[in-house]
Amino acid sequence: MNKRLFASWILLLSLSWLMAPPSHAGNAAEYHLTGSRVFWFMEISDLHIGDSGSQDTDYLAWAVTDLRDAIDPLFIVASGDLTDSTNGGTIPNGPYPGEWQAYRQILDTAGMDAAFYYDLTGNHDHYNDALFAYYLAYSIQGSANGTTQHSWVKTFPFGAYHFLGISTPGNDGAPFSIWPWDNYGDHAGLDDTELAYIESELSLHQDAELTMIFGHHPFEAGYSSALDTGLTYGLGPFLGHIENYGVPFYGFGHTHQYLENIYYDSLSRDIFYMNYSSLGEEDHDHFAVIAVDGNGVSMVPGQHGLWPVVCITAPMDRCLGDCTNPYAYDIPQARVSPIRALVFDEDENPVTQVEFRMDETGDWQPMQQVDASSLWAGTWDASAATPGSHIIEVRAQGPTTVTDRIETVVVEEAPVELAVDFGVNGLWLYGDEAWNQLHSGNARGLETYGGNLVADASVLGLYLYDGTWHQISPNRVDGMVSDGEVLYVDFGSHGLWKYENDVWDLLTGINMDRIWLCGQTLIAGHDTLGLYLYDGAVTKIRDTNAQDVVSDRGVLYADFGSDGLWKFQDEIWTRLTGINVHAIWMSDHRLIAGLNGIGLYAYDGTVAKIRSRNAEEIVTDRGILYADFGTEGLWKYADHVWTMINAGDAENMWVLDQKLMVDFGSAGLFMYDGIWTFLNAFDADDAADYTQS
Amino acid sequence: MKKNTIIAIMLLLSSGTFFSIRAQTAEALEEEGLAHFRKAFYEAMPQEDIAGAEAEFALAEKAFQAAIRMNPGRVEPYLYLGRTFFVQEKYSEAAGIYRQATGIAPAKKEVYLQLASALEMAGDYESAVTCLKNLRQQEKDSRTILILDDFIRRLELCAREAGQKKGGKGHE
Repeated sequence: MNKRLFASWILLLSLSWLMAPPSHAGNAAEYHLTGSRVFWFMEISDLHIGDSGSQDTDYLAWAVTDLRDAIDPLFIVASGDLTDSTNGGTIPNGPYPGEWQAYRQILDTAGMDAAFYYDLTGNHDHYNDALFAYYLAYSIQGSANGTTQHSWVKTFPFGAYHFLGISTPGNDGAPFSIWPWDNYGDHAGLDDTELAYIESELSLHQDAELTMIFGHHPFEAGYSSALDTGLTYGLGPFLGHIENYGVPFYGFGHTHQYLENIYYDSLSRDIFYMNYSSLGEEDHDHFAVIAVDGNGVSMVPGQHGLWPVVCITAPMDRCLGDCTNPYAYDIPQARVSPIRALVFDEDENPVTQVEFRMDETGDWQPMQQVDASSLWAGTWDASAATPGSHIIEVRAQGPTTVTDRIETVVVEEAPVELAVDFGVNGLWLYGDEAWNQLHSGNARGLETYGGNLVADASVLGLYLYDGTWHQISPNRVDGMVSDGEVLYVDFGSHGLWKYENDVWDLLTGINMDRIWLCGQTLIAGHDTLGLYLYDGAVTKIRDTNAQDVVSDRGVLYADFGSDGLWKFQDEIWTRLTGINVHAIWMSDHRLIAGLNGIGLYAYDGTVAKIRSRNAEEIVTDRGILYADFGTEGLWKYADHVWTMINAGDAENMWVLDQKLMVDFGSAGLFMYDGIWTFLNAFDADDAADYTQS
Repeated sequence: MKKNTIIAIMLLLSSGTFFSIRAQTAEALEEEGLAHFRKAFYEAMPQEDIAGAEAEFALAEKAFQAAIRMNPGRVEPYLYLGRTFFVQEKYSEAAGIYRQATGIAPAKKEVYLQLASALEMAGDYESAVTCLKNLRQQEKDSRTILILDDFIRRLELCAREAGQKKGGKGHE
C-alpha cells in the first residue's frame, strides 16, 4: 500500500465518527419540552376502487382533497388493495383497466404526486397480474419509479426519518381462489429480491431517527379473522431485518380492521404492529393520523364526517399498541410537564376550544394553539403527582366534542445533586435541599467523570472526589472536557491526555491552545499548527485553529473568526458564511450564531434571524433555548416564541439534570423549572453533576 | 417375424410418432398464444394501446383455438382462451369456453369459479348462482362455504335487481 493510500485509510478511519451510523434505526423517544420535533402523516388502506355499491371512489376523492386539506399531512400512505379487481362484480378476477383508470384519475385530479402519495400493492392489485403491470402503469409510485417497493426519507432540522413501503403480495399472479389449500389465491410473501431491497434500504438509512415500514399484509394468517391471509414465505428473513436494524414500526391493511398492537414473536425488541381499516369498504376508521413527537409515535383513527380529530402526541401513550408500549417514556415529577395534541378540523367548522385534564376528575385546563398550526400545547404541574399511572385527556370542541385519552407514568424525580464551585467560598455539594462543603479551596474548574467529580486545583494539580479526595495528576491543567465517562485534559506543555478507567493515556505531546468535546470526539486546536480531531488517533483536519467549535450528530461547526463560519461534514469543509460571528452554540439541532450589534441567527439548512441582539450565553434543554441577554434579562425561546423568565443579569448558567441553574452574581444561585428556586447566596463560578453520593 | 406383424408394429410406431408431433404442436400453439396474450395483457393494455392489444389478443385467440382443435381433450387451451375472451370483456364467449372446459375436466373446481365469474360479468346472474351452488354442494371446508355463500347472496341480489330492471345488464 502506498503512503498516500495508507494516509487516506487512516484519515477515513479516524473520521469514521462523522459518518458512523447509530446501531439501530429507532432512536429513543424523548419527552421534548417544545413542539419543535413534531410531524405527522396520514394512512389510508384497502381502497378497493371498483367495488360495487361501496364508497370507494367517493371516499378516495375525499381523502386526497378535503381530508388532506384538513389534516395537512407530510405525506399519505395507501397500504394496498388500491383496486378491487371485481369491476363492480362479485368475484375478484381482474385486473380491470377501468378500475385503475378511475383510481388514477382521482389522484391526478387531486394533484397527488410521488413525493406525497405512497401507494403500495395489495393482493387485489395482483390477482392474474404476475408482473404488477397495472400497478406499475397506474399507481403513483409504480408509474413514477417502475418498482413495487419504495423507500423515502423525510429530513428535518431534528433528524431524518426513513419510510419503507414493501410489496407483500405474491409474485406469481395467481388468480383469486376460494380454497384454503390455495391460500385463497393470495400467495403473499417476500422473495429474495424483495428482501434484498428491504435490507439494502434499511442498511442505507441506519442513521435515521426512526424507520417505519408499511405493507399490505399482516405477518401471519388469521390475524383478525380466520379468512385473513398473511405472508406465506419470507417472514423469517423479514423479521431478521427488522430485528437487525431495530425497526420499531410495521403498519398494514388487508383485514379491514383498525387494530393497534405490538408484535412480540421472534423479536428481541417488540415493535408497533398497526393495522389500518378500509377506506373504501368499511363504515368507520377510514383513515389514521400517525404523529411523531420527539421520536415518540402516536396514532389515532379518523372517520368520514366526524370532526375534529384529536391526537395526543406528548407525553407518549404507554398503552399504544399494548400496555406497556415498549417505546413510551416515563415522565418526571417536573413542575412544567408539557402536554401536546394535534387537533384537526374543517375550515367551515373550526375548533373553538382545546383543553386537557388529568386523571378523569380534574378540571379542564385550556391549551394554546402553537403558531396557528394544528398543534396545541399546555403544561401540567406534575411535581405534586403521585408516582405511577395517570390518565391524560385532551378534548377539542368543534361541531362535536372529541376527546383523546392516553396513559402515562410519572416517576419520582431524583433529587437534584450538583457540585458548585463558589470560588473563594469553596466547593460545595447540593443534595436533599442541603449544602455540604466538599472543599474549602478555590477550584479553577469542575468536570464529571464516571459519576465522580474532578476539580482543577491549579498548581496543586487535578483531584478526583468519589467521597474522598484523590490527586490524579500533580500537573497544572490548562483545560479539560468530559463526556461523563472519559476525561480529556490539556496539561499544556505536558501534552493532551485522556483519562479513562482511571488510566492516563497521552494523546499528543502538542501543547494545544483550545479543546472542545463534540459528541464523544475530542477537537483540539493549536493557534499555529491548526485544528485536530481525536477519535482513537489524532488527525489534523484544518491548518488554522478555530475560535469555537460545536457539533451536532457528526457535523462540526467551526468559527474561524475573520475566515467565517464553516461546516465540516463527510470530510469536507463548507463555508456557511464569511461573516465573523462572535459566538456559536447548538440548540435543538440548530446552529445558533450571534453577531454583536446585529442579532442572533439560527441555521438548520436555512438561516433565520431569531433575535435582534446577540446573547451573552445560551444553554438548551430538550428543545428550549435559554438566552442571557445581559441587562435585558434571561429569556426562553420555545416554539418560535421568546418569553422573558427573569429580568436579572445572569453571570453563569448551566443545564444540569434537566434543570436550568443560573448564577445571578451577588443575587445568588437559582434553579428554574417553571418557577425559580433560590439555592445559595454565593456567586458560582462553575457547576457539575455529581451522582456518586 | 411375419410380414403382417412388422406392418402392424410400423403402423403403431408411426401413429405414436404422429400423435407425439400433434401434441407438441398443440403445446407450441399454446405457447405462441400465451406470448401474444402476454404482449396484449401486460404491455399493450396497461399502456392503453387498444389497437395493439386487440391485434395481439386476436393472434392469441387464433393460436388457442388451433391448439384446441389439435388436442380437444386438453383443458389448458380452453382456460387460456377463456381468459383471453374475459380480459377483452367478451364475457359470453368466455363463459361458453369455460363451460366446455368443465366438461373436459369436471373435477377441476377452479374452472367453475372462472365460469361463474364470466357468467356474472355477462349479466347471467342466475346461471352464475347455479354454478356456485353446484360448487358449494361439493365443498366441505367451512371457510370456502362462507365465501361461496357470500358470493351467492350477492349474485342473487344482482339477479333480483336485474329482474326488476327487466333484463338490465347489471355491471356498466
